[in-house]
This record gives sequence, C-alpha cells and structure tokens, in this order.
Amino acid sequence: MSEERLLEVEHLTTIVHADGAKVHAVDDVSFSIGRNETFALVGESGCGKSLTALSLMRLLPEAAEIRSGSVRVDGEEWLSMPELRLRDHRGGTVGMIFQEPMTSLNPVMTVGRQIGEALLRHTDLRGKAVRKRVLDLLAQVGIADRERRYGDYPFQLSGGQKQRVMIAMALAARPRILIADEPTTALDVTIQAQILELMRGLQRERQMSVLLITHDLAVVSEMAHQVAVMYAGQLVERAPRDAFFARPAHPYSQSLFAALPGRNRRAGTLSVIKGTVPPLDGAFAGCRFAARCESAAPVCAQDSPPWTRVEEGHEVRCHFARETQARWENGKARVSVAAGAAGLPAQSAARPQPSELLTVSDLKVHFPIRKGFLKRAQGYVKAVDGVSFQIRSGRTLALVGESGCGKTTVGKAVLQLIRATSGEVRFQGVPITRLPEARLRPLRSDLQIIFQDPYASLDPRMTVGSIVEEGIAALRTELSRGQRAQAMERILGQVGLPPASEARYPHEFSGGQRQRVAIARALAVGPRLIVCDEPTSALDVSVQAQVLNLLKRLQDELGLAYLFITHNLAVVASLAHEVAVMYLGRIVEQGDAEEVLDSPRHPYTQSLLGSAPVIERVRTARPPPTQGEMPSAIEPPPGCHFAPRCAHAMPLCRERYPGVTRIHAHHSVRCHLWPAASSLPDST
Amino acid sequence: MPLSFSFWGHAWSVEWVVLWTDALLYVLIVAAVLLALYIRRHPPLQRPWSRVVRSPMAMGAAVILAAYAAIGLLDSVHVRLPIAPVKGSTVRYYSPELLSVFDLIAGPLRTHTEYSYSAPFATRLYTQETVRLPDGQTRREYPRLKYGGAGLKSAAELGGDVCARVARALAEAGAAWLVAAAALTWRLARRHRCAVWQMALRCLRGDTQVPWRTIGLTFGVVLALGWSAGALCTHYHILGTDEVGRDVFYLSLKSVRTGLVIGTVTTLVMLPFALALGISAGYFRGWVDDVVQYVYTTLNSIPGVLLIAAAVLILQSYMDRHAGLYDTVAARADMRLLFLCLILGITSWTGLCRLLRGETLKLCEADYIQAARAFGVGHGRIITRHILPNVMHIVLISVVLDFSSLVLAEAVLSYVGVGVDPSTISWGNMINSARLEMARQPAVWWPLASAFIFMFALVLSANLFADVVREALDPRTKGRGGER
Repeated sequence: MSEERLLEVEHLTTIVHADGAKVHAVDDVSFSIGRNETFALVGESGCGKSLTALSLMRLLPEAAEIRSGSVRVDGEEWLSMPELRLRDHRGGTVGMIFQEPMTSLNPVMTVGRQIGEALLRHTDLRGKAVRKRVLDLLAQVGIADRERRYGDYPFQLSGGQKQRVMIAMALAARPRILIADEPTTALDVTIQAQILELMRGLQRERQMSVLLITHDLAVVSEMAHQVAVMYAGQLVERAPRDAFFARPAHPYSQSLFAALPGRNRRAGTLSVIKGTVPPLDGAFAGCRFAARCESAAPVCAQDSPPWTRVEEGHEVRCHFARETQARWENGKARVSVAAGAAGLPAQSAARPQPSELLTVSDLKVHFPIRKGFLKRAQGYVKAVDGVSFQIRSGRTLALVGESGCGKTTVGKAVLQLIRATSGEVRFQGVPITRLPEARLRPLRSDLQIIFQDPYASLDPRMTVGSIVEEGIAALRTELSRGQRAQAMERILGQVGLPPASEARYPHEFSGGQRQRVAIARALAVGPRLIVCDEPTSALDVSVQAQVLNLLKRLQDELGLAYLFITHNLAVVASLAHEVAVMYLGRIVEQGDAEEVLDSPRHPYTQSLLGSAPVIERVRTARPPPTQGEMPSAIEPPPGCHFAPRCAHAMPLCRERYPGVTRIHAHHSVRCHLWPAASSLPDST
Repeated sequence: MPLSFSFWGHAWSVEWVVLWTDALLYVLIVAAVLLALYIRRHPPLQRPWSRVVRSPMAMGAAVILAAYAAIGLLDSVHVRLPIAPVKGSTVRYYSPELLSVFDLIAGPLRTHTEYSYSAPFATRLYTQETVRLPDGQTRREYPRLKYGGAGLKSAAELGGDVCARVARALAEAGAAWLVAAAALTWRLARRHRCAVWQMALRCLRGDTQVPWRTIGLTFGVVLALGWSAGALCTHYHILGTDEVGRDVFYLSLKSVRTGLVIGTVTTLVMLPFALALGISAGYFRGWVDDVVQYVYTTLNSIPGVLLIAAAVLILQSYMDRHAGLYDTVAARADMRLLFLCLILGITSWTGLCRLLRGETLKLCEADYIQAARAFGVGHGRIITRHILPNVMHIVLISVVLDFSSLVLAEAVLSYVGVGVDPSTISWGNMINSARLEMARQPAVWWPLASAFIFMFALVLSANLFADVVREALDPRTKGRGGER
C-alpha cells in the first residue's frame, strides 16, 4: 500500500515559542495522502491546521520549530533535505493556495508576470513559451478574456478571479500535490461553488493529490475522499469521507455536526460544545477533549486515548469510540423521527399577529463619486436602491445577500448611522429618516446594533464594564451610579458572562465571549430592535451555535425583534421568521422563511440555495453553479440586475426591471418569470 | 515672589522669579506625572510601557536622561539674590542678575573666570600676554591662571594632584553608590519577600524583570564621572575656558537646560495644534478636513528655516524697539527662547497632524465608534473616550522621536544665527563661536568638543530610548500580546 501513498506524515510535532511558553501547536500528527486523492483536514480556528501545512513545506514563522517527525513525499524525506533542494519542490512538487486572495497577490505586478515567475523558476520555458503557457493556465482556471487579463493588475480583478489566478499560479509548475488552506472562506457562496467546482475538475484532470484545510464540514462533504479532524494540535479522527459523514465516531466530530445550524433545527436550540479549546502550552494528562466532552469518564482525564480502529480505514482517538459511534446512529434515527413529527414550527401561525415595529419604504442610499478639482458628483454608487420591508416586534427578518449587495448599508441606514438619500424609515409609526440627531437620541435606546467582528467592535482600551456602561450613561441618564451598576450586573448575567468580567479588558476574552459583550452592550439600553450585522460569521461553528442560541433565548425572553444581516443561509434557516434576499441594492424576493427557503421563486435565490455546500451522506450530482460575479453598483446592468448571470434570462429581462409579483400574502418576488397577472403558477 | 528661609544656619532671603519657559517646564512635568499616573491605572496602556521598563537599553538611556533632566531642572528654578542693604534703609533690593539654583550650587564654576582662552587642565593662559614686571620692564609670556591650578607650586605637580583628587572622588563615589545600591536591594528584597543577599545575587546575575544590573552600572558610571568632575572643577578648568575666560564645563552644563527646553516645550506648543486639527480633520471630514489639509500643505511647502528666520528677526527688532519690557537680560533672552520654541512648534506640527488625521479616519470606521454613535454619544465624548486613547501611542512615539531632532535643530539654528539669544548659553552658540576658534592658529578645539560630547550623549540616549518606546508602542511591530 505504501508505494501508492504520495505524501506520508509521521509523528510531526511543531512547537511555537510565545512569551517564554512552548505551545504545542502540532502534536504527533500522522496521516498520508494517496495519489489522486483529496484529503481534508478539518478543525476550528487555532487547532493547528495551517501550521501543519506550513510545517510540511518548512515555511514556518520564526517563532515556530519542527521538533520531530518525518514528512516523506514519494519516499523522499523533506524535513532533513537541504533548503536549496527543497526550494525546487516548493511550488514545483507542491503548490499552495491561501485563504485571502486579496493579499496573496503582489499588487504591483501584472497577473501574467506573477504566474510567469513560477514558470521561470520551476520549468525550462523561456520567452514566448512562458506567455503561451500562462494563457493556457488562465484558460484552464476559467478566466474569460485571458489575453486582456494577462496584462491586468490584481486590483482590476474581482475576488473570485483573484482566487482563480492564485490557483493558476499554484498549478503553473504542474505540482503533484496541491495544498489549499481555506481556499474559499473569504469568498461568497456562489463564487465558492464556482471555485470548488474548478478545483474538483482540475484535480480529476491533472491527477493531483489535494490537501484541503478547512473549518467548513459542508465543503469537506463536497470535496474530500479522506477526512481527518484536528483538535488542539492533535488528530482525533481519520476516516474515508462516506464513513465519516455517516458514522462519526469521536465526540468532538459529533458535536461539530450537532452545532451546525440548519433547516431541521429551526424549532429547538442548537447543541453547543461547552467551554473553549484548552491552551496548548502545558502537558496534557488525558484526552484533550475530556473537559468539554458530554460523555467523559474518569479514564478520559487520566490516560491519553490511543488510536482505535472502528472499521476499515476509520480510526478514532477516543477511549469509547465504538460506544460513541453507536450512540450517534441511534440518536440520528430519533432526531429524524422527531423532525418529521414536528413539521413546521408552531410559532409562525399560532401566535397573535404582533404589531408592526419598523417599516422601511423605498429606502435609497446613494454615495456620490466625487471627481475633479471642485469635487462634483460624477456618478453615484447606488448601494441601496429602493428597499422596502417591515419587521414586527418579537420577530426576525433575515436580510440575505452576497458581499457588496448593500445589506450592511441597509442596517446602518435603519439606525440612521448613514442617512438615507430618499425613502422613509418609520419606527413605531414615527418617521425617523429626517430627524435631527438631538431628536433622534431618545429613539437610540430602541434601536441597537451588533457587529460582525467581535475583535474590532470593542474598544481595546476600555474595560468591559465601561463598554457596557457607555450606552447606559448616554441614554438612560435618569439612573444613578448604583442603579447603573445593578443593571450592568443583570445584563452580564443575561448574556452568560461571569460577573467578574466588568473589570477585565476585551483582549482577555475569547471570540464568543467578546460577541457576548457586544450583545450585552446593545441590550444594556433596553432596545426593541437589534440590527445583527453578520454576528456569527467571524466565529467558529461551536461558538456560533452558542451565540445563536443566546440570541434566540433573548428574543423569547425580551420580545426583541432582529434585523439579521447575513450571507449564511443555514443560519437564516435556523433563526429567521421572514427572509428578504438582496441583490445589488434591491430586494429580489421576500417572504416567510419556510416559503422562501422551500420554494424559492427568483433564480438568484435558487442559485444561492443551490450553491451553498451541503452535507450529504452520499454525494449526489449538483446543478452547475451560477456563472459570473455580482456587477458593480456604479453601473448596474440595464433591466433586471441579475439578467447577465441568469440561466432563464429573456430579452425582456435586459430591458426592464421587473415589478413586484405577489405569490401570495407572505411571499413576493421581482422577476419576469413570474408576471404579475398570472400569479400562483404551479410551484416547482 | 520674595522668599525667606534659613538653611545651614544662614538666613536666606531671595526673590523667586518664574520665567516663561520655567513655567512651561513645570506644566510639562506636572502633565508627565499625571499621564504616568493615568497610564498606571489603565492596564492596556501600561502593558507596552512595562516592556520599555524591562529593556536594558531603554533603562540605561533613561538613567543618563535623568541626569540631564536633573541638571536642567535645577537650572530652571530662578532667584534674584538680595543686594547688601544701604545702612539704615529697611527696603530690600534684589540684584538684577538672575541666578538659578544650579548657579548657586556651581558657584565657583560661575565666578572663576579667567582672562581668555585656556586649555583643559591648563595652569597658564593659551595666549601670550604682555606682562609688566615689577622692575618696570614688559615681557611677552603665558601668564598663570587666576583659578586654574592656583594651589599648585609648579606645573610638575599637576599630574599627581589630579590623580589624587580623582582617586579620592572615585572612592567617595563608590561609597555613595554602595549605599544607594544597598538601599535599593533592601527595598527590592522587601517587595519580593526574599533575603537581601538572595536579591543582591539575582540583581548581579541580571535575573530580574527590571534590568537593575544595567541601571546600577549606568548609574555608577554617571556617578563616578560626575563626582570626579565635581571634585576637579573647583580647582581646574577641566574643559578649559572660552574667549572671555568662562569655564567651558560650566557652559556645557548650562546648555543642558536650553536643549531640554527646546526639545520639550516645543512639543508642548505643537501638541495642541496637531491633536486638535488632526483629530477634527479625520473625525468631522468635509470642509474641516479640507481646511486643515490646505493649511498644513501650505505650511509644509514653505522652507522651515526661512519661516523661523523671518519670525525671529521680527521679534528681534520688536524687542530692540521696546527695550523696557524686560527687567533683566535673562528675561529678555528667555522670551526669545520661548519664541523660538513657538515658531519651531508651529512649523513642526504638520507631520504629527497628518499621522493623526489618517489614524482617526481609520478609527472612525471602527465598529466600536459606530456602536458609540448608535448610542447617541456626543462628538466630544467619542473623541475623548475612544479616539484620543487609541491615537495616544502615535503621539508618544512622535514626541520621543522629535525630541532629539529638536535639540539638534537648536544647534543648527543658533549656528546660522537665528536661534536663541546670543546671551543664552547653548550648545548652538558654543558651536557658532567655534567657527572662529577653529580657524585661528593654534586652534581652540575644546569648546566645540565639549558641546559635541554633551549633545551627543543626550541625543544618543534620547534616540536609544525613543527606539525602544517606538517598538513597544507601535501596533505594527509584533507581540502586542492579546490584541488579536
């Protein structure tokens, strides 16, 4: 068997020196990748996945060093190879793709030269042959108009195109192994589908082996042949894809699945993994997951579990691997029965119709593009171009769309952080769009916001106490100092932070806890509506579940309404009552969450739902992803904005923007496929 | 303000005079102390500073800077001594001559003036003079100095005398150092709850977080040099004398204050401009931003030296026309020094202002500022609570980096002739007069060399200190720990 293995990693241990401590970031990791095989390394942030990949290439940062182990490619040992020879292999035998296409390309070199550089280094091609080969590569990675793109600079390309160029660079020297470190994490879902499709095709065509590093189980499900789960610097489970998705046998893998938000988890709360990843600078006595494991036994805290083989090729580092696996299979059956019985969640119909809280009608936010000496407006970026929706109290409206569609601008315009160009926002019947700042202040306590990045949204130089207190001090001036302290203590308890956190600073908290602080800050002033701007997209899946549960609980307890801005359809499904899908500044479809998600009418909604990677027990054929990328909001295409990418586009679509068609009372769409007259056609 | 007190049995009665630059220096010290207290109470601000305190290089430099600061501060408390009263009169008059506490301490240095140039440790003048002999004849010779080596019978005793004095001074300095080190070790041992000898061993091995070994070593060197110089300078002109016979060592020490004033007061002048304009440009944008940008772009495009020269010359002619405005020469010179600080400040705020504008533009997009705006927090509070603390590191970095370049700028400007008043003792003026001294034959090299050595030590230690501060505070350098 071993001659078929292309890459063999054995007992790899890498430590990082940080502030005097030795962090065991990669600890005794062994795996192997066969020829023409995609191997996925899965884990949450900070578990050592990227460092493993960098250790293979010996491209570690200065503070890190490889302590022991062996890395063999084609039987040749890499860890003891002289640097000069290894350089031929880097980019030659092994190509690498990074997460952030925006920063991985040199901004002052043309695309053609950057790819050509890899060719000059690793092949004998020179002169015109290089150019020809680069053009071939650009064609292979699906870049249209390659002659022109050859001379373009990275800033002239979109995010998806940049990632394609990165892939072309990685492939330039015909590598036999491709290491892809979170290749689609920074991309939108339709673009992600395109890139994954491209990588699958290239792998088949070129007979490459791929080491795919990701945190996204759905991506793994679509791409991988073999899966390894990493936790706290160690591999905890290795399995073939189908076995892993059908019968995960490590408690950690199982809880990752359980924490995923999705359609069938709408009614209840998501299961969470308690606690956080342990610090890696000490020695571990027992199982590293024991402290967070639901079914930990005394032996787990004492002995480090050995590899247990549960079936052919499926190995787990757990004392109770078989029991765990059996529990999963029983539990799974129960869950599916329960989901079938429960059907649609009751709350959508049973409750009395709540009052209207926020009404947005024909909201427009246009940013002028100023040019020239006098800075006259030469044109407008129509970030939001006529958006209307309502939110009732105690309900959640999810605003879904890809980056750049204007959803965040809508959120800020609702809060009057950005003033609308035209249109109206009414809060409890009061128009607030044109209120001066002073008259707006009393309303500020009703409308609050939670941001995407919990690292950037808290002032690093203020204690948690003063962060939470800021709003109370500004808006609830009637409270005395003592009352304020009481209110603060109550709120910190409400969001599940220890009361001692007041005096601590944000950097002492983990990402999930920081997001709790941000939620506490918003809650402190007693809001009725909270704009949640991608509150979980910077968090790991287990932490995401905690935050979503918290938001759901607060809604039930306090009757909060949420405007939930997100690109993640799985989150939408688990939390939202209503959904509005945005494309290039306009809402193209809106309605009840079940309606929209179950029978989407607009081709864009359909493609969003179709592009999102899903976890399937057995891989099925997928429809081809939607082509192209979102055009610029400066010059939107004539007619329907989606027409250039739409598979069903008609001549009419390129002429006129479609009007609103009511499918029925709670579902409307703007698409020529659904003409207003013939409403209610048979659903597809 | 007249002050009366008794000291060592003498009844002193002096008039305390606060010059403008003195007042500003006092304000600066109070501000620095308040800032230090503020930083101590806020751990996120304190963290980078603890890195500075742990750096041996920074602390070594800090000891030297502290020595300079001590001299400068003693030289910044000015008094006027009483003139012996006329018999029978009860009115007390004060001398028009303004003296600082440093002058009083260094009394002999100030009063021991010779006739003209004399080399370091010389017993005779550097130039030949015509002396009238008792018998009426005249002769050309190098006359004996009035004070330099006055107690010596012949020049041959010079070496032995100097060695003896240095040896004694070193012994005394060593004893003083031991006492100080023992006191410190005892305190450290109390704080760390361990035996004194263990603490001493740890200090010697360099096994302490704060680099006490380096601090002790630097302090020892400074003490030894200072003590020896102090012991010698009452009997010799250790760095020679200048053209009118003033002791060059005294001049070099007096220049310290001028350098410190220029380096620090200028920042005090510059900071309000840079902070107010930079932050408001970045925060309010729109026309405010346009105006501020136009102002600093315009100011930047005028050569600094030209602007300074014009301003100083205007002030000069104004002072000449209104000679009665100042009651002492020192007050007048001080006014010019202050004005130089002002004009240097006005021409140098643009760089920091631009940095602050950019940083504020970036910060305004930060989510926590957006969150504060969503709470309806006012502009003033957002600026003081969120923006100011988050740009403070830039301010501190640029202040410590600017200090040394300002000290050097003073030298350059005085050399060109548009710097401080000619009567103000400064390194710049010493270098300016060296123009002629180096041109004569044989050359007079010691005033230039002294100014160079003193300025070099100050600027070098300031630069070393600034380097560490920049590294610790700059968020771009690695290891800010915790913040992402």
